[in-house]
Amino acid sequence: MGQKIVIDPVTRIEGHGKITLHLNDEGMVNQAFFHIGQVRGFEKLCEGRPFYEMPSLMARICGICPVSHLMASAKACDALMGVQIPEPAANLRRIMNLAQIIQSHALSFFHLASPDLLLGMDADPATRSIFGLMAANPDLARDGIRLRQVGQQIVESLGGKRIHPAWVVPGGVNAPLSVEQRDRILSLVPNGIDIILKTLAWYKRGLEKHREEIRTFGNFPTMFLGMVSATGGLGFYGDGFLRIVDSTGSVVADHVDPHTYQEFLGEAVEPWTYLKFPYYKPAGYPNGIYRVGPLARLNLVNQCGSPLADQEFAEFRSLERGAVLSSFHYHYARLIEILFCLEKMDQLLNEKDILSKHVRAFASPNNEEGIGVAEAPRGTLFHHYKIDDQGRIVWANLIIATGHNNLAMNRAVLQVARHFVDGKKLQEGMLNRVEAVIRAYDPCLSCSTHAVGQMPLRISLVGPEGEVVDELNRGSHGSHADNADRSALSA
Amino acid sequence: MRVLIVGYGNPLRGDDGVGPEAARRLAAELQDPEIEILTEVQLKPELAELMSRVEIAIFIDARADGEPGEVRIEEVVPREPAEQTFTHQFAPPMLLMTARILYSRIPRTFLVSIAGQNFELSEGLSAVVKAALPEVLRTVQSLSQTRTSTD
Repeated sequence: MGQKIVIDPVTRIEGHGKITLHLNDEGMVNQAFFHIGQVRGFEKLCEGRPFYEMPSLMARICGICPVSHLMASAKACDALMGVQIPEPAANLRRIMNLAQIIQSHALSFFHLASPDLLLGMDADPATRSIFGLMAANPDLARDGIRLRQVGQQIVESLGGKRIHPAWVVPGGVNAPLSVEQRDRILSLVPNGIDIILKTLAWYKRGLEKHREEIRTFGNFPTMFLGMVSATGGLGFYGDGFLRIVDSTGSVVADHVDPHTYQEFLGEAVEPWTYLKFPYYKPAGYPNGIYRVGPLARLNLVNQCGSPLADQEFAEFRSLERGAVLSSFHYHYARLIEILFCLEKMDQLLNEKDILSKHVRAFASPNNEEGIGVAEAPRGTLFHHYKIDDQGRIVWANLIIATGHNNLAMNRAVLQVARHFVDGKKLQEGMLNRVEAVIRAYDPCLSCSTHAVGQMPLRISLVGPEGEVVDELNRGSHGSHADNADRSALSA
Repeated sequence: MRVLIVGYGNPLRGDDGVGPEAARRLAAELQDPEIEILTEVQLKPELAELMSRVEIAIFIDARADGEPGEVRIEEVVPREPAEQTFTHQFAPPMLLMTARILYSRIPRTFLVSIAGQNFELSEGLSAVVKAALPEVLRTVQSLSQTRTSTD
């Protein structure tokens, strides 16, 4: 008789997810599902609100990446107004977006993923945490905190506060940059670069010991999608064009206008999760699987666009002849992107008109429909609004980065589970790898289901007739069931 | 800076916003360069670094148990969580432990908690919690004067 393993909640991710592994009669995994059981409904609750409230409302979707929603939302509002915002305002928005990517990526790498990377996938779960990390490598833990502070302090300096800053508005930003702000931000960059270069060197030294995970963590052919800058580099603000490449790195579609996303992106639904499954329409569902986020972006661009990051990029791309396929390398890509963000910020702050007082365009709505696109830490983010003649929102559609990766995350869970999980000799380290592959994608479940939630995950073992044979269940504080429970999962 | 005051909670969850509201009122009343007052939705590890640089840290938070409006003071001691699943938030004892491990220095730390009545999706404090705010402010101001070994 087959079985089902349930991991609930999945730990060290944002939001509340559950994994179900279905075993065959031999105790091997033959199906795997990553379920998101929370629903937020932001698209509905904003209906009837004045369009100019949208950036502030949409930023409430997430406490980790509010700035990404600010960017995409403000850009959608710019489109409703039909304005081209002043370039200094666009550059100031870019700087805030880069700062947020730094702090979000630092959270993912240093606080969520590093315990696995430093202490090992099979380490005692009681110590495989940020406190275990602190004990084993306090320098790494301090660097993570410092890098987070750098990103947060820049966001706070620009927006007045770290969470939900109201500085980004339709038409631009609501205050210019002062000399003191610029100099303060510039002073933070060198320390950030030192930390990330040190971290990259540490990470690369340790890659060899993760060879098996690299080979099996979401390592399969998919397409990759994201925005690239007008010059083919990293373009987080989303004012270049969309590019899609295949698993060999060959371009599938280029110079795609992101405003036409509905023509090439479909969203499928499944009855076992609230998270939709975006796919590339020309390839159908589910063959239209693609990935977004740091790994995708580094597979899409010709170069990053800053000197030190470009050196690291060249080394990264030499990992494979075509696209870098293993989702384990999301971690590596995240570090390179942090480096780029710091360098790019320095470039932008030295633009001659960065202190310009002309940072906002004013207009009433001139269009009934507006689309805003930006690259969030986790991938491409779309905000699409329609308004009535009073400027009130009548319809909204959001496609969130984590959603784009849903098909790939599910396939990655299956790949890892098939490789590592033996239902007859279940070990905690096997299941931790199932969670760790999810962490590589750094999903933001609150964002993607547009939840008041905790991040806890569940793994279920299901028999061939659908019966739940056993569950690895974490309570609201996310504790694993004890080993005795799990060792009793045999058929 | 000698004293760090952190009011934390979610103002969109009714009385869970009492910490940020108390911090906001304290910021309006206290104009002391030796006191830094922060409002947070939740506590994150970065605060540990700041804590390591002060003599006294005071956290203000809502709690779910107790008679609504009841104000409780407790001294916080460093402690790792019983269950090691870090998401995005820390409790004051974890922050204190982080400060000890990473920065080798910890302040005297207090938690002032107020029992809430309503934690549903809503803005504004219930009347009984609002009525407790003056006591909260007096308590925090008094704790901020606590003498430490460096005084």
